Amino acid sequence: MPRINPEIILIIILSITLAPAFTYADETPHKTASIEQIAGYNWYHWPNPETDACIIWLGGGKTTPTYVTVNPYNLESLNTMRFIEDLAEHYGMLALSKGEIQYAVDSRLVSETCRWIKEYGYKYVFVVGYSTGGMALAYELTFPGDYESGPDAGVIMSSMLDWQEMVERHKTARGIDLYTSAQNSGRVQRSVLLMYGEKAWFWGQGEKFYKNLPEEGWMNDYYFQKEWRLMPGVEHEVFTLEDDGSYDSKPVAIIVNFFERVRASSLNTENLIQKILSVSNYGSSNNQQTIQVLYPSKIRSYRIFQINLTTPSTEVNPTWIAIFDLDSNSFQKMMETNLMIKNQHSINGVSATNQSIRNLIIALIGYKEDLQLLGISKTMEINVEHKPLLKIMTEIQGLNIKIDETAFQTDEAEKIQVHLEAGNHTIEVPKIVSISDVERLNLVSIDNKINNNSMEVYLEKDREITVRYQTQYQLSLLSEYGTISGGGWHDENSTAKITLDVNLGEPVQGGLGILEFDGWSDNLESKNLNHEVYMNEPKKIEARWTFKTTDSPIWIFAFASAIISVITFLVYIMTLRRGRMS
Amino acid sequence: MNYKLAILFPLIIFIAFRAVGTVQAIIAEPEPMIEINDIILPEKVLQGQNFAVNISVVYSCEKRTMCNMGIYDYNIEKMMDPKMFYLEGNGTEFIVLSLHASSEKKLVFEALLRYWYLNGWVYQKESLRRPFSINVTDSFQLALLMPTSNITIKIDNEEIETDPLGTVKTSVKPGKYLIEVPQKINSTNNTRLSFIGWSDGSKSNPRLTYVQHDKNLTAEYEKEYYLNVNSSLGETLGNGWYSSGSVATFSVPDSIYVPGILQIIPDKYLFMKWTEDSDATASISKIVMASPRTVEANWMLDETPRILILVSVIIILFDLAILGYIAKRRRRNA
Repeated sequence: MPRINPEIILIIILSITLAPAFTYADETPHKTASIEQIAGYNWYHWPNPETDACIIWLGGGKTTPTYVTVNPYNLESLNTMRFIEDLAEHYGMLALSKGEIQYAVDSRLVSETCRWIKEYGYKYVFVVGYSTGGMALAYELTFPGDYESGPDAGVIMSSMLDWQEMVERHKTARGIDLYTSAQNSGRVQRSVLLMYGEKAWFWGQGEKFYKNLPEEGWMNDYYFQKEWRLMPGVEHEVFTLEDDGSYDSKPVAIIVNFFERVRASSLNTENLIQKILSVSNYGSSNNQQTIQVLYPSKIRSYRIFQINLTTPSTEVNPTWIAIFDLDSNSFQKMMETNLMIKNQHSINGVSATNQSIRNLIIALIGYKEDLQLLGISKTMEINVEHKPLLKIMTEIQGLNIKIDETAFQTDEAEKIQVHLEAGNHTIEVPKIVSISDVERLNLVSIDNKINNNSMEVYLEKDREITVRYQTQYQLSLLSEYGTISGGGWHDENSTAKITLDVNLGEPVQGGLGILEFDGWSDNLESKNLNHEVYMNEPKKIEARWTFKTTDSPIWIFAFASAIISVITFLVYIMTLRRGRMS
Repeated sequence: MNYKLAILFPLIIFIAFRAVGTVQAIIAEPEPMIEINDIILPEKVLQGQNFAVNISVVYSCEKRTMCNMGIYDYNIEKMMDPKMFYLEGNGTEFIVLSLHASSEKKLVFEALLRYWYLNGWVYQKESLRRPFSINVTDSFQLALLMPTSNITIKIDNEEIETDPLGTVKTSVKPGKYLIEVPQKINSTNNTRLSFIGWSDGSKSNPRLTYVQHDKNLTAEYEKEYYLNVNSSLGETLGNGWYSSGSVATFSVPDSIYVPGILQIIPDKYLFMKWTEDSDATASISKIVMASPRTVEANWMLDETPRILILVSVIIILFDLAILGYIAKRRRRNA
């Protein structure tokens, strides 16, 4: 028998023991990415060929007195992964693929990564820092090595930026500046968006950072912008609704809007703005050509909308098509283009403000020694709908439906579309819709549920509800005798079963006749007291009756014999009397 | 020997670390048991359609545990409808997630669950992942179940015959369809099936149905039996079809005059009793229709009218004789 080497046995045992650990150590599935080695760490890189900007995602992690950590993508929540995926649809994206970043005050990780991104070919670098990742970003924005190698803008989400408790406990720790960025945010020279959940107890720390930031405007050749967003209904993860734990895409719209404003901010020159304002106020001057625009009259808030435009021809190159906001007097979005190749364009905008009307204008800008306004569109007044949409589909025109006690009527397309505040709403539909005395509609279901005629709806996002009715016809029954049942309302094309309950042998008309059933008005052949009626229309059914007289032939003879007997008797009496008299 | 040590050493180190980690976890707090149990999903969906997937999660958590569930769509490489929720105690939680049929191809998904334990998400367990797939279609199966085979039904006026199992299965685009089945299906001369409604409660035939997913509809019928009311004399009442178990009323007249040898003197017949499936003695009777029924009216000749008529005739003849005698006497006296 061959001797088995003990080491081999040990290897087999170990392999079996460890197998489960390796089998399920697969990473969470994610969009196909390349792996890049940047600043000593491995990063997922999701390139986006349609953009010239890339985001560095710095997620949450642990805090220590000397450094904070940033977790890899796999250790994010699934909601965070969706958030990163959504941002990656608009920009290139970098997220730590494995390991753990230990970010200390001298790490300069953000700068190093930004440098790599620029070298890769992106024109703009943005950083989105969440929790401890936001602390690292805030620190690096506050104490940058040099601004040129830093990000073009940053978003700080739910980060502890003025953590006094930590400061008290670790006064002498080397990393304490990581927790006190809010006190030094006046040094920040790159645009910052701060986004905190209203339900997170520490949102005041973010507000403090924001308040200490410099005023918006030009800083050397950089236009500084800042924005503060306190998000209702959310806590730490600003993209996760506290009520039901679902993902909310509103923060993505806010961030995209902010980054696009930063991308377009190089156009925010006094010269251009004044020209646009004067043209928009006093009409087109000779120097500017008109841009034809096709735009929606109404848009939904926090959603992307599209403006189609036709630009005049120009030989200036490069040129930029830009959305200018007449309410904030700043550029919202810009898109580089070559008008010598095409003059039909589409530009996307996002409405991420609480305004109900946006006044926008499209500007065509070229560069010839300086930025020049080459063309301008008319002012686009666009209504913004902030509330979610409730759509109620029926198959009836003019149907009255109550929503929260307010009556609405279905339109020609047999539906109701109404924007309602987020929250609970009551929909009440009529149980019966009367069409005539003999035809009606009977409620079958609301939202495919067979229930009563009202329904509670929690509206947070757009929702469509279908209300269905069934046509019914009246079956009227009539019988002079007996009891007839089975009448009333019946579904269209159903078969009604009617029953006549009667004492057929009953004498009628003072006992001179016997009641006899003669059939049904819709079928006189049927002498059946149970009857079926097909309800393809309103119907009126009558039971027909006849009477049969009794024993008449016998009594004719009896009657005749009696009469003749009486006559005979009278004749006899008269004959007798006449005989006596004579 | 050296290469063996090179393999063994890292493995031993790994095991040692695993053990320490586990012990620490046990000391700190017991790890909750949270697993994906089952996924209820549609067999197929339409491209572009939104649909829901119901995932049951079994759990045993000593402390309130934060959980996170989502579905990864491999076709579009995106996390769909992620949700945070909390579990505590023991039980089963049902999480409904919304998905979108994003592609014409087969949809490949993976349900992902993770829970928060010891300052981090636990996700590297087989029980926290469950791949599944859904077929994308541009049509759905509409199945109609009839009580018998070889029945012709109509879907939007197109005639289709049921298979030997009494079923019609057809592939239809989503939308509204008019379905019609026979009102009556004859089994024998005196037994038939009568349409009473549909499995979803509708009583209409033809009826409209909305197809938005595979749909099964059963046409419900009840048995009807024929009541045959026979009588050699007079007119009967109650012949016809009755629902199984219903009570049928049938009748003949109590009595009937039938022309006799002399047309002016008819024979009177009195109803005597019912025979065959009924032994009732009343001319108007009822019967429970548990099967096809035949009832026969039995009659007997009533002699009373004959006697009455004979007596009347005799009286009349007698009277006429008297009158004749009187008239003769008067002529003689005159």
